[in-house]
Amino acid sequence: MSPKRHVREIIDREDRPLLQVENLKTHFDTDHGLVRAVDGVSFNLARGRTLAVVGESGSGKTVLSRSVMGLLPHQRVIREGRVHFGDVDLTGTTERELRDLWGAHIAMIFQDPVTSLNPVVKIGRQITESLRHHLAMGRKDAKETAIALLRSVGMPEPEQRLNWFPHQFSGGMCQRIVIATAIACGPKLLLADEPTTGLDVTVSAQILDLLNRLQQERYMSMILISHDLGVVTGRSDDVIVMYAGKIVEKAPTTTLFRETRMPYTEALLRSAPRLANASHTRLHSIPGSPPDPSGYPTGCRFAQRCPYGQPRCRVEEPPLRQADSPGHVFACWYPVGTPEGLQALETNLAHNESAAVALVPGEAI
Amino acid sequence: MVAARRILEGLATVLLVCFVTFFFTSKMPGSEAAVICGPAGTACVRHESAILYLNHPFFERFFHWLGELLQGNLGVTLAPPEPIGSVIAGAYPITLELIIYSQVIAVVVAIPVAMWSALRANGLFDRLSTTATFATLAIPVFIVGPLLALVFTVKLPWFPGPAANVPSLWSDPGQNLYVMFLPSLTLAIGSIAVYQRLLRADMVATLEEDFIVMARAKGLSTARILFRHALRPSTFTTMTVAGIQVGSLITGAIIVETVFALHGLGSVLTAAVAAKDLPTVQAVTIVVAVFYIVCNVLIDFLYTVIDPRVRRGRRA
Amino acid sequence: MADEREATVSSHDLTAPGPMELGVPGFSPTATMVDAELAGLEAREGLVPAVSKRRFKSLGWGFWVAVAIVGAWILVAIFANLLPIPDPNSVDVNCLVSTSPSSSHLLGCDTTGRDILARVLFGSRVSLVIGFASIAISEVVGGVLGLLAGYFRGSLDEVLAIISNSFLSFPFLVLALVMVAYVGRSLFDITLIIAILAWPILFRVVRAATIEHAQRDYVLATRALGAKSWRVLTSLLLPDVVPTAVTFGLVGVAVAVVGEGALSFLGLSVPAPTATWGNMIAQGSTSMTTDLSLLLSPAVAMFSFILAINFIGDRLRGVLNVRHGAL
Repeated sequence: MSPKRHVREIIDREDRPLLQVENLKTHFDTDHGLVRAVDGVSFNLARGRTLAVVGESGSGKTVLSRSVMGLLPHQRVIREGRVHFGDVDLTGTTERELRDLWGAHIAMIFQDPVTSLNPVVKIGRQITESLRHHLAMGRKDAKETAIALLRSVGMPEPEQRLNWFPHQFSGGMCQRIVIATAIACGPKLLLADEPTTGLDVTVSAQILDLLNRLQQERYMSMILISHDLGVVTGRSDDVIVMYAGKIVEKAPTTTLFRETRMPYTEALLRSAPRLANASHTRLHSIPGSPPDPSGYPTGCRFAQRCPYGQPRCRVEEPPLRQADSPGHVFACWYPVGTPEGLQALETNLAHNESAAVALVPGEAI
Repeated sequence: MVAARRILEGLATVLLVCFVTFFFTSKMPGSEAAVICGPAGTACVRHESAILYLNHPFFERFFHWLGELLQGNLGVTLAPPEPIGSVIAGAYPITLELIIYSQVIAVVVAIPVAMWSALRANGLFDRLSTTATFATLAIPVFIVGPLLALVFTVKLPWFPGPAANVPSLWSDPGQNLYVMFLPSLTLAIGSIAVYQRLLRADMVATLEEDFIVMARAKGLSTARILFRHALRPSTFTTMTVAGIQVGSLITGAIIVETVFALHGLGSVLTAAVAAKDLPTVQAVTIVVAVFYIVCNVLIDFLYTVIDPRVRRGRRA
Repeated sequence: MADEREATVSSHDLTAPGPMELGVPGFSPTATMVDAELAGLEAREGLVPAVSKRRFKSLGWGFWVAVAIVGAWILVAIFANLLPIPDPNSVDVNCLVSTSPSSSHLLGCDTTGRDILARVLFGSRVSLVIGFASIAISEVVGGVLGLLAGYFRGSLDEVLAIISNSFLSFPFLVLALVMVAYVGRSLFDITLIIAILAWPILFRVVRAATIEHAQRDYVLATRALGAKSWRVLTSLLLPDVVPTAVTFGLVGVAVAVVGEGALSFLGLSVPAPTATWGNMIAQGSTSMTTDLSLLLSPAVAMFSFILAINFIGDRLRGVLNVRHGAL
């Protein structure tokens, strides 16, 4: 496994995080208007740690992960902010240079395993491809490595399976193949974008456990994206809750569950689908849907749907501020579990509606 | 299994074509014997009719004729009488080469153009190539042919003009491919336009697939993504249409042969129609039908090679 | 299409943030590449303003130029004998000296001394008569059969589908030549031959459109109310499929004109001395070293007509939202 070409060494110092994201913005110029999918997101991720990114569909999680990597469409995209990966500034790098990192140091697992494998290419070649490309392995070495990789992701009879096509596997097996492909070159950072959507509950748990095991064995950093806070519990060190392209709360996982501050997080927790529920169901306990990403309202973007919402929320946008515990930040004027929050909730209950909503009469939620 | 059914269907179609052409030929007022004899009189007609098996009942004649056909005896051309089989044997290589050569040119040109257009969809190159193919599709072969001949044999004498001597592909391949280039290019123009449009459209769709994003995420180069990952899944529509296109290619080949004065099946057919040589028309039609069906069976087979999902019985 | 695309923002404009040119009509690559669901766009789809109105406006000047060209050719074909041009078959002795263009022969003469301009203009008659007449016949035959097959389905549909498929799959020109050999080559014969070859196209288009429309709620409702089949067919389905039939018919006219051209080019359409674009091109291609006009004039005439009529069909298909899938 001698790195002959393509693999660029990443200097990863212990005294600073592997991944530093500062005020990352990703906007799309579409025919519907300027879609602000990611709108100023900052976080750090240390080597060997797992960061979960949670939010409803449309909160910008997927775009965030692709934007961190630089894996965006070529046209009509505006990306701002800084992303440092080790000693490399990913935002100031051309795609040609990024390609040396992609697959080798940063890898990605996609939502739908069945469509993320090329239907007309044998899975063996899909796995060996990056080995041969990044590590300049010979055909035989690459094949043996692929067999070992398949075995490590729990594929039975990997020698024969190399010659199979994706349609001959189940969804869960496809995701194992995708994972094997992603970790082939030993990446330092793994981005897993809802890796268990579309898989059934037991398979989903197996895949998540597999990811955790591989992450620990290989000392990878991982960003685990999910719409389900339940998935994240016990599988991540930190959690970022995203809403409408912004971070609304960020905390170490245990802190987040114990000291929830943001009403949106609270709502997510309440509505978190139990394992028995089908994945990707709408979160019924949060009324309404996320705001139009091409025209966010002023003030807090969650105000419309917030049970704590007050007139101030519709006018002034709350900044991210420090909570009591270290590493815990949130963006809310009337946080959960504080006297102000409690009062706001009571006021709304007395009026039997959210004050923020009442500001704009006639607007449907 | 699928292939076997296709071949059976193909055989049925050929049989049908045989029957229909035979039916019409036998019903024509100017019978073969009369055409051969001309003003020579009824005695001659009677004599020739006996040779041509014309006095027997219809089905008996049909099966007799079909039997002869299966033995390779396609009949005799009208004046001058020559075995149709040898006339066709002398002419078909030109037509076949024209069609294959044109498809090679079309694929070589269309794939890169379509890829580049799809990669920068709605960019300048894409808009130019789309406009160009739209215009090209409106120019019939019998206009393209003389214009290309005008430009590349008269104005810029790079290629030999019409009626150039075509050496055999086996004895002098270089000269043969050189002489056949312009006719093949003429025939290819339409295919290029069709393939470019279909490939571009499919390629644009394929490039939005998850597995392309995944291939990008692996850090593969654009060229590798295009050729290894995007090309094959983008060819399904083009393959299907290529099968349908065989018909219009044969049509085109007939005209190209006339433009460049090549002695192929098309010129045999054209001459036979002009001379009302019905047995020859009939024989060429049957040969064309067989060729057409063989092409389609081949394309079906190719389809299974390209798309593993069509293959059956691999999974235990 | 092209003028719309030019209006889209180029990638260079996007490096800087700020007010963008929004709501540009046309295709957007980013909207499709970004997971639309995650961008929250699916909820907005209902809010897109009615597209059809904008599309009608976007027919563009090119469409009207094309209509003018086709209209002009129709007028020329009808009134060719009233135009101040020589007789297309008369031989001018002066031309035997020089065939090049002169004040009396604007496009020059052909090798036998006939006026090229007159022959091109009169040649439009053969092309247009055969083009429009054969497609009119096909529209009636293919349209009626398509409506019936698409509405009643069943074995009638299956038999017609097999027949039309085998017609469409076999090389057009081979069939046409075979029929010329058996039938003949008068104007009427050729029209009929092309109609026989063209009806399956319209049959399939109309059939597909009928099937699609017959499943719509208002048709099902009318049928449920006990309306008679012929009433549903004539008063509901017929008006629905006419736009489809007409747009594809226009393309069919282009196909028919090319088909006739191919036969003429091979010398197997309407016999000489009648001028046709195809036989002029054939004549011109044999003498192109000496006389370009004889090749180029009919070629340009035919090309302008085919391109214009294709363009009209293409635009109408976009505006009327006739799907390509219909074929």
